[in-house]
Amino acid sequence: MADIRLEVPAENSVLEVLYDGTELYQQPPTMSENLTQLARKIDFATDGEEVTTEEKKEEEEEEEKQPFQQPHWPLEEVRNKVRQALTEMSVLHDLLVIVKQKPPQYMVLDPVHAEPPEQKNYIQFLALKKSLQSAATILLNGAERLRTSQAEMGRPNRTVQDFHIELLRLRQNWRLKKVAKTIIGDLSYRSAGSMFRHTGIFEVSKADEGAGPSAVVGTGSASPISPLPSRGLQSSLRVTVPTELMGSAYIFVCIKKDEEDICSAQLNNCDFVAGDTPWQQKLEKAQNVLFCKELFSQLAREAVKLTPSIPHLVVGNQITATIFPGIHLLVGLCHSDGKNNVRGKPTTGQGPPGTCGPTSNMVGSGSGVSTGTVGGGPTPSKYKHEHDLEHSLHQLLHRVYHHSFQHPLPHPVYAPMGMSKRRRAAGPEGMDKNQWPSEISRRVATRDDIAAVIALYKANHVLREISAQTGVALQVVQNLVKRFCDLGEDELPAPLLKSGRPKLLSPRTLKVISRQVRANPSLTAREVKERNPRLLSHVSLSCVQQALHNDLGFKSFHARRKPLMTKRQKENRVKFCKKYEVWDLETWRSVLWSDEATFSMISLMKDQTLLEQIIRQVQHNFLRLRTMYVIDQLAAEFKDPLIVSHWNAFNSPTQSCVKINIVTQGYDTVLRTKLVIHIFERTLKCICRDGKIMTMSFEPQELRNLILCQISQHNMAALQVLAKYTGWTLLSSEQNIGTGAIEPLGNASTVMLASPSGNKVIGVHSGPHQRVSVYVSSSPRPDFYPSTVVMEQRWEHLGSNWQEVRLDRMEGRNFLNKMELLMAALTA
Amino acid sequence: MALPVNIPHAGETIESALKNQIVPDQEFLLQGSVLDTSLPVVIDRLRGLCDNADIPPETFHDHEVVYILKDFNAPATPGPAGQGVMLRVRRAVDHPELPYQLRYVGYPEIGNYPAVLRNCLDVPVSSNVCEFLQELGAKLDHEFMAKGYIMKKGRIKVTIFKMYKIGAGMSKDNLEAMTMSHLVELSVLTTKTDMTVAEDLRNLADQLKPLVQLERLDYRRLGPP
Repeated sequence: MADIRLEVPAENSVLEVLYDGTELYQQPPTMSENLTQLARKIDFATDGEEVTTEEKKEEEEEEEKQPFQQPHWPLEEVRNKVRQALTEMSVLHDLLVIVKQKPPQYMVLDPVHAEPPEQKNYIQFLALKKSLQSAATILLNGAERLRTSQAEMGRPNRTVQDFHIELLRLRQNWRLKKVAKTIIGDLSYRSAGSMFRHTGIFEVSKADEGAGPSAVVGTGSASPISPLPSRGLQSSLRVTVPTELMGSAYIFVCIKKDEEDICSAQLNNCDFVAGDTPWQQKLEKAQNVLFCKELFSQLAREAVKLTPSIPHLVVGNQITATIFPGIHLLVGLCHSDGKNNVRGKPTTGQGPPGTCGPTSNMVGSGSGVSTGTVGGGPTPSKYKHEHDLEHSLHQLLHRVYHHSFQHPLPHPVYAPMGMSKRRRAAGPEGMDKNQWPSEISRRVATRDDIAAVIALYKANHVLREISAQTGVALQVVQNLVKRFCDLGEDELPAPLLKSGRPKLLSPRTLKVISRQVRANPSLTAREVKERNPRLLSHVSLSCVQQALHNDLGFKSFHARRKPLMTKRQKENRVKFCKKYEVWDLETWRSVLWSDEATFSMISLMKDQTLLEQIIRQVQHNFLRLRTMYVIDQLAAEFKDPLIVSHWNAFNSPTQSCVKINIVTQGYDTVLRTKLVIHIFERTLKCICRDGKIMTMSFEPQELRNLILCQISQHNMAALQVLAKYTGWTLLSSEQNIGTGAIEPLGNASTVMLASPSGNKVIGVHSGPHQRVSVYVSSSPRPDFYPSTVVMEQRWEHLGSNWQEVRLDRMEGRNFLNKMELLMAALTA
Repeated sequence: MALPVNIPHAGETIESALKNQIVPDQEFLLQGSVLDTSLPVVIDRLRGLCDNADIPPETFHDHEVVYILKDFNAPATPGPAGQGVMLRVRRAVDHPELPYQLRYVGYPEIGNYPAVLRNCLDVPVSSNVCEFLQELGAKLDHEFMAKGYIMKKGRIKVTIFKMYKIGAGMSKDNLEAMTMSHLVELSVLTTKTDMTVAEDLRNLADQLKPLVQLERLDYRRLGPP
């Protein structure tokens, strides 16, 4: 846009130019001249209405015709015009006065009827007809619609539902709101506590009308008793979910071992979403997809953030975590949208199948996206999906939602929201950061502690009380007690050896040095080293310095230079002291904190992340299955004492328990060896009937060895009890015999029994890995012949050579049965 | 050589927190009342609007004692300065193990806010706070019991309660109701800089519109205490 400025030229027009060059300007009009000019322009005759151009031209012509008369005085024109106007006004006024006289004498005003317009009947008739026609069409349309809808309502098996009723049902289940002309809904878990960024908005609209009625008409006209179409009622509601939430998804969880062949295993998700699924299913599926996405994103985030010893691997739609060496947990997000495209299949490596070897932690190198496979039948997948683990993952995320909303409400009402009870009480009770949350700092148990603990244990205190009294942690107390029992309850367990490089200077040397320095505090480290050549010649000077500083605490200081105190400062100090001198204990208790106290506003209680929790659960799951397998294998292998296992019905996701009874068939009343095995995430704890507690790692061999040892001990113990029944006396029983072949694990045990009459002795030797061997010796010796050394006959009463009994050729169902028969045979 | 090390002490951190406006010391409040006969309807509506709609709302039973701290010997000067400082001590009768709460509320801010905005300081204290206040020179002004429901929606605390006068005798069981209605309060704590939460408060209040009229009360119009 351009600015246009109008400027009046400041120059005045030139009237005359004199001979000497001076110019006479026309003077600009004075005020009165200006006023005169303007007033002349006013025409008092007209009444201000717009005059058409023609009339204007006439007026102008008239004006031109009049000769131009110079006015005598400036406003003469104006005066004339005003006078004219006055004349006209007076005339009008007189006229009105005359007319208004009552009774009318000279003039009367009568209205004049205007001529009626011409009547064009025919045109009017046409116009009327047109307007009536338009009104009629509108009414007919409305009536038609009403008729069809009434017909719909009356129909018994109508196939299209009413839009509003369906909308009502939709509103009962989902949150909807109207924005401008559209209805949008929310299918996210935001109101339940989710913090996912996806909005989860879906749109509700009317379904196409075209498809509906024609289909209705088609089926209606065919036959009134035709069967309903297989899809059921068609809905008049259409729901549009966001494209990334279309289809269905689930979280795939599986455990796999390294030794398996890595080949491209593909999972087909045969749960396709058809085009016209009812909206409830569609919305639920979309919500499930959103949930799975959130779960997977949370797990992936944690997998990247955590730093375990073997890092987790996150590739595409797949997370691989190591739970045990060689065993991996695979979590993947399988999402198939309705177009038969399966996205996110966990493909594990491409290329020809082959073993990967033990070096692999790189288990999932395939990317998440793969080309769509047209679904024929579902191909059998190599990896078994663990449904219960998927369920656990879902539950863990639900718990996260729950916690994000479930804050304890404040009591009393003024208390701040969102804090735990303990945190609220921490301020007034003056807890320091050690008391809240209650964590006991790490302490090394000294010999005195050990002695105290054992003394209390001997006095039959509960372990928890011992821990509370001595201040030693409960686990340490348990360990000490266990070691004490292992040592046979004779001597105190020694404190465990410390790790790390042993000290160069012994405690004795340190004592010598400390005595010297205490006597003469101004000794330098060099002087100390010179004074004790024999003790300190093999160490460096800095070693001596370190010993003095760190171990013995001899540090050197010098006084700090400070400015002198002023009189005022001295007074202030005295005042401060006097003020707090009078405070007693109660007043001090009400102090919350003083200078430089540190406390943290953020809660120190950090829960484990989702991934850690699920890894723990998977570890426990795997360990439990492995334990089951070991026990079942042993039970199948050994029939001689039967191994009976009872698993607890109530478990937690990270702890289970099994009771094992080892019993010989037919001799259950004789002896039952009982064990309880607690299965944790990475360890097993076995508690035997005699109180021994053994902790094992996740290797299956350890459990196997334990049970084998228990079996052999059971046999021996049962034999001893059996001997009592049969009247044989127990000569000796050794649980850990030192003679004989070395057992690879555990110890062999032996039992020696003597017959009631005393002439037969049975010796049994049994070990966890060797078979049982039974020997018999009888007295008197059948083969005694006096020789030059042993001359008297009475020596024949010493026992004869041991003869081995061939247990496998003996009759008898099991070991105890055979022993019973043997003892019976030998008694006679 | 000693380097000048600046060790912050607790007072400085508190001052800087207050200056940087991290500590939430402003409270937005909306109050309204509802007759006892309409209480179940309001409770149902609020349950639908607030968090955790699936569990029944939590009840509370508090005992509040209000102290006034001023110079009782000086002549009464008109205006707010002469009224002294009102300190409220509240304890939860149904949770005796939890600490007492000491609260100071200031005068409402002048301005066009959607709710009453006032300075508010809540401090958890130990149980000997009453003696402490009396030692300071505060006199007990009045006390009452409040029993009702408490719910929350995000940061907004919603309480519906009935106030009871403590009847004759010192036993706390002798409660008389003061009115035939329940008081509905919506409050949220915020800092001086974060004023957006008032909109949420107003929206929640509007949801309750025909049942309860929640509005900004002008305390000056209610008359001198």
